[in-house]
Amino acid sequence: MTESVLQVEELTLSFRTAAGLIRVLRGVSFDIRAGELVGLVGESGSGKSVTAQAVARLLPEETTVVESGRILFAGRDVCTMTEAEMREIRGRRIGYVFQEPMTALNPAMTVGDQLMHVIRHHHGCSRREARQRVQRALEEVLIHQPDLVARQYPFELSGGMRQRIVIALAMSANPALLIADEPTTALDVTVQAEILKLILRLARQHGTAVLFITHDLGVVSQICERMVVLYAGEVVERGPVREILRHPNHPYTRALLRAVPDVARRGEPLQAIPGELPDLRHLPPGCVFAPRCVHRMERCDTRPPLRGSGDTAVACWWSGQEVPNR
Amino acid sequence: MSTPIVARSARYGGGRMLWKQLTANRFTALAVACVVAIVLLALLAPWLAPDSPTSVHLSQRLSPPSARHWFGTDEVGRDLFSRILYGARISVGVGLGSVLLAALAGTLLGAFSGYWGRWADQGIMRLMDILLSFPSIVLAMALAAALGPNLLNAALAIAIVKLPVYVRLARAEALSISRQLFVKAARTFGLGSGWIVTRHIIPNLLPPIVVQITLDLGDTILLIATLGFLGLGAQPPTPEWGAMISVGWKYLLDQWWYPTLTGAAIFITVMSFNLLGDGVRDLLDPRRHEEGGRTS
Repeated sequence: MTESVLQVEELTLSFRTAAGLIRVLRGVSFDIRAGELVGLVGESGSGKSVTAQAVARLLPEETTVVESGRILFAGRDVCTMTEAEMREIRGRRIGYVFQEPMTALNPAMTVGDQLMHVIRHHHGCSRREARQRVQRALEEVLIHQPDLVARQYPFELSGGMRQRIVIALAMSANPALLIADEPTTALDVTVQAEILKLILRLARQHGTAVLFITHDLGVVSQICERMVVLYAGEVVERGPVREILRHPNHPYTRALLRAVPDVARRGEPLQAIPGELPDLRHLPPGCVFAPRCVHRMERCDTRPPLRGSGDTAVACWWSGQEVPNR
Repeated sequence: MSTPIVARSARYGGGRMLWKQLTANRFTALAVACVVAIVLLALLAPWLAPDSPTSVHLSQRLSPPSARHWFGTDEVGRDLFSRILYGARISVGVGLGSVLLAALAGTLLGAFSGYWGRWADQGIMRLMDILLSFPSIVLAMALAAALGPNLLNAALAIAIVKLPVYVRLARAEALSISRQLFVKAARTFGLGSGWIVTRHIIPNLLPPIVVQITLDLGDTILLIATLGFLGLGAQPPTPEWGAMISVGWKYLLDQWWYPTLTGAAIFITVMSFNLLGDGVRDLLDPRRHEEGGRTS
């Protein structure tokens, strides 16, 4: 087994609000090995982005409280690092791609200049060398006319082009981990496929591990090797993508899969999950998914631990029993 | 893959369009013409002026406007036209200088204040509140008097008086800009605060600062003349308009041209810069378009 790039261990994190502390992550654990693509899946508000931003420590420090747990990046705890140490890691070791490519670039600077600054910041090279690296970086993200594009401002580029630039920026220092926070959600479907292919190719080429955050199971099945399913700030299931898609153990994962259109089940109505995410201030005492679960039992009023063997783990009392395939 | 096709001229067409819109209003067009003329006259003063602004001809003292002395002469026979031309250099030059100084310092302070927040923000803003609590002329006079009455100190005093406006403006803009995603994105690249403020925040908050500079120019020129008039700015024999009037007003009844023409120079200059400022503000103010392009 290869070494872990990132290990999130029992991370419990709260936000300080006017209404008091709100726990947004409870005991989140998962790891990413070198060069591996891991999908972090969940619906809006499940804590995907918070997890990702906690890893890069981008959450506002005044209002964020890490109550327990660790985030080990290359063996060191991100939570206890100083801001200066963190700056060394951001960009250089951890690249970050945001959801909205429209606003992730500085509108008052040409994309070439933005790339140039970041590249010079990382490599400390001369202007001339940086210019060549900009060219190469743009070619790497499949931009056909790097000279022309480098001289343009973000508003002159399409969403897909901008996301390529953002990826070029994030990958410019050849980081060990790329965090992609819903990088394709704001794009249309054809562009989405191109961007996915691009991220996959770059990750393979450079041996970069990717934490891919999405609510789209189709995307996960296309590019990820393992996946982590988050629900209301807790990991409910994790394991290799292929196994989970074939044998989802947690009722939530099963319900999610049934909500995805599938050619094989043509004509059948899609099944939505009844109810909504629980209020994080008033969580059910036991399993967080219990109020919406079709397999709810008496036991579900106590919290199920995340149990499993090897890579697979599930937090559910019901799925301990042998279950038939969907 | 999509290839962006943007004609290069589109980017530069903006300048011509701006010019067109700016001169669409009659008053603004007039102001632009006046400002251009004043700046040209100031720049070309050494070549246009018939005489040195400081050469004394006692035999021709207080002579009325004539072919030789277009604007007449002052109490020691200096050519008034030459003095007013040279005075334009001082007013426009020093005015622009002190506004730019205030804008530069204010933008930096305000941007850091807005981005950093916390104690730095509190400290800077309370200091600016103190500066703002004084009437600007009183503060400028006190500062100029304390620093010692000369032109440079007057410019410095005016820059300090104008500073809080720029700090507040830049801070407000920086607050909203630093919440935008590209600033967070810049942090994910490992860029430091200094870099983020100077390269990402300041370039994006410049438009309102530019408007404020054009609005402040007329006011500043008037302030310089005021300090000069009160003896706290340029000292005689420097051909500064305010200082010239402070001597010339005594001759208003008998040699009317002396204070009147000098005053007219101040009036026209301040008026032109104010109208230009209003024009630029109207142009860059998004609310104007809601009102159906009505300009005042």
